[in-house]
Amino acid sequence: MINTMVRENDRTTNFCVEKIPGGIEVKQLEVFYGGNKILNGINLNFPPGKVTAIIGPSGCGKTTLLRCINRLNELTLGCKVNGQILLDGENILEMDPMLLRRRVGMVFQRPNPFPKSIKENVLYGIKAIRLKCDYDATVKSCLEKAALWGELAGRLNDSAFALSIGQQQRLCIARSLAVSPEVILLDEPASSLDPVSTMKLETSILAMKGEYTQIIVTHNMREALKVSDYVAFLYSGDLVEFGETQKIFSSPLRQETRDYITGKEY
Amino acid sequence: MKIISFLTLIISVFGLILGGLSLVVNSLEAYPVFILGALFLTLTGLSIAIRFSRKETKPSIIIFAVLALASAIIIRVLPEYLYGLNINGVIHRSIISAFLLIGIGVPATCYSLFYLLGATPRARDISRYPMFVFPIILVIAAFVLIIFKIIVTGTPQLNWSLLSTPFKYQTWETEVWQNGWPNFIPETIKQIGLLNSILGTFLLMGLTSIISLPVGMGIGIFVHQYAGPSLGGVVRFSTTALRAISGIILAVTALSLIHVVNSALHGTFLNYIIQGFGYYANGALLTGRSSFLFASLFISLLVIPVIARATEEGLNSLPKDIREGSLAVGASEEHTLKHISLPWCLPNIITGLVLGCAEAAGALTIIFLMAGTGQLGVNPLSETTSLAYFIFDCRFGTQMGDSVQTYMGSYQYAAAFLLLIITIGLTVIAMVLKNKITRRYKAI
Repeated sequence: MINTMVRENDRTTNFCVEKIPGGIEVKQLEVFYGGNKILNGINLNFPPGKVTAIIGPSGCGKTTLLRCINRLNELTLGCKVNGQILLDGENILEMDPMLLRRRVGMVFQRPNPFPKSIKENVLYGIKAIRLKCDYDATVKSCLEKAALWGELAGRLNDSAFALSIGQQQRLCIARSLAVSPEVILLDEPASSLDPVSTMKLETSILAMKGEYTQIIVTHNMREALKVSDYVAFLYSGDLVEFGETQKIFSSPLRQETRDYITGKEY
Repeated sequence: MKIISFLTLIISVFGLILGGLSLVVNSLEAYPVFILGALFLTLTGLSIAIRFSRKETKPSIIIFAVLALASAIIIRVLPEYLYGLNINGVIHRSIISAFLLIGIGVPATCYSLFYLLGATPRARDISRYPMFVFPIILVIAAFVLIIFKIIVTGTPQLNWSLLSTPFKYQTWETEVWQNGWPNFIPETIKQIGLLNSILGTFLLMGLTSIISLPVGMGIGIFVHQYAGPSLGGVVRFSTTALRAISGIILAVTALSLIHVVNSALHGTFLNYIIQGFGYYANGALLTGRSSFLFASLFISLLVIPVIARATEEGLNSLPKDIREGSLAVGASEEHTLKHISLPWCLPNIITGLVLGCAEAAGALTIIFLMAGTGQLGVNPLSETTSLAYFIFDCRFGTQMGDSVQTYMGSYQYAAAFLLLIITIGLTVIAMVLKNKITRRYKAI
């Protein structure tokens, strides 16, 4: 509780100097699984309040990088991390993972609602940290941000498993918003959705722009072009190129990036 | 071909029925030879018919025909009782003929069905049914017979007073002074009833669940969540090995422990806890053989592995994503465990618990050396008793001067019936509960 209050203070002071919280700096990040080196020294700045897309071929370490940012990689046995990740100047590797994960929410590749009602799903994070607040209002605002309130207003007590896959994925977004994070990580959120659900998901990502720093891993170039402000291209554990989306897609500096975006063989 | 396969089918079905009956009856010896001979003829006929109408040879049918002939000869030649190999006339030849009849009858039924139905792929599927159906029928028949016997014999004995009266058989002597001399007058209490056995069964189940549920769940959670692969493997192996220990070994261990405590710490509180105690009708203190608490501790050793395994499997079946999703919103491991993982594997735990309770209700091997009549009362610190032990005691018990056998012997089927009701009721309750929880938490 004290930590949360401290964080609130930090946030207000940050606002005073007109700086949006949630900027992430990755410095010389190296990740090993067992003996394999997955990321070799990545240096990257995720600008606060913007959407950054991480693209790259399968197995290049996109998801690993993403999972390092909220330290979910530590759940995997034999994972070792060198380097620094700074969230608003604080090294996350020295933070309490639970506090970190409240500030850095995550949406997974496949929708993973909890086996509970829709309302309980949204309130899960709040109840887990025993935060006192107006539950109904929180549910409403979170579902509105995830563009779900219109569809689900009348059936908040239904099981979350009864929803369609697309609705489940947006429910997962709403769930991560409930603990008021600064950063949201999206790990290929649209990979199991149909085009209409994908569109709705992208709408809610665009709507959250400015308020949250979003980092999205995607294989879909059209999606990256549509939602992201910046693009980072990873290739076999190295950061090949980072820049504004328009620039990367129109005139990439490196040949690998050009080949990947246009879909050529390596 | 249809006619000959139909004939084969009828004869082989007769053979199967006869084989089933020969397992239980000795007097059907005139028939196996004829049936096997007839099977030889019809199977030969069938293979000839196939040769002519379908232009193919079926060596397997010919082999079975020859086998039928061979077994007919074997049964004809065999003496009534088998000797040699140190089996001194215990095995009747009808057992051999039953096995031979079933062994030849099942494939013969399959082949004849196949050709009777026109030898199509669909017929091939149908013709495999006898292979699965016949063993199932045998098992179900045995099961139904046993339950039928218990119900028919047990229910007429049941009445309210039997259920509501605790069994009691106590003899003691009262000292009376007559003419300045002590005179010892023998006194006896006799009560016929099953109440203490019934309550004892429930108490044993309850205590066993209370002991083994937290320990088992703890081991399951530890192995799944906190232990690494090597330590988890060691814990898993040792719990499984514990399960494999035979009950009688546990019983002997428990008994020797009781003897050690009784000799070294006689009269202490620990001794009373382990042995259990109660009071005679005249107020005298009597130690039992072992208390409910102690007995259920030893039964728990067999139940803990079941619950640990069930918990671990339930946790394994939780999708990894859901657990990570819970951690990703900032919930602690403990909160995730309490609100996500454990509700998810609750159905598995309930199954494990029901198996454990059934184990406790029927646990005879562990307690038969240390249980008693339970006439000193039913509470965790009094002498163990249960319906299973009561049934055993009716037949083989010798304690208390054969009192149980003498007075209660005729009620053993009533007790068996009650035990059956308890275990089946438990299973039904668990199934209903499981369905409800599954619907509530998973709602798929």
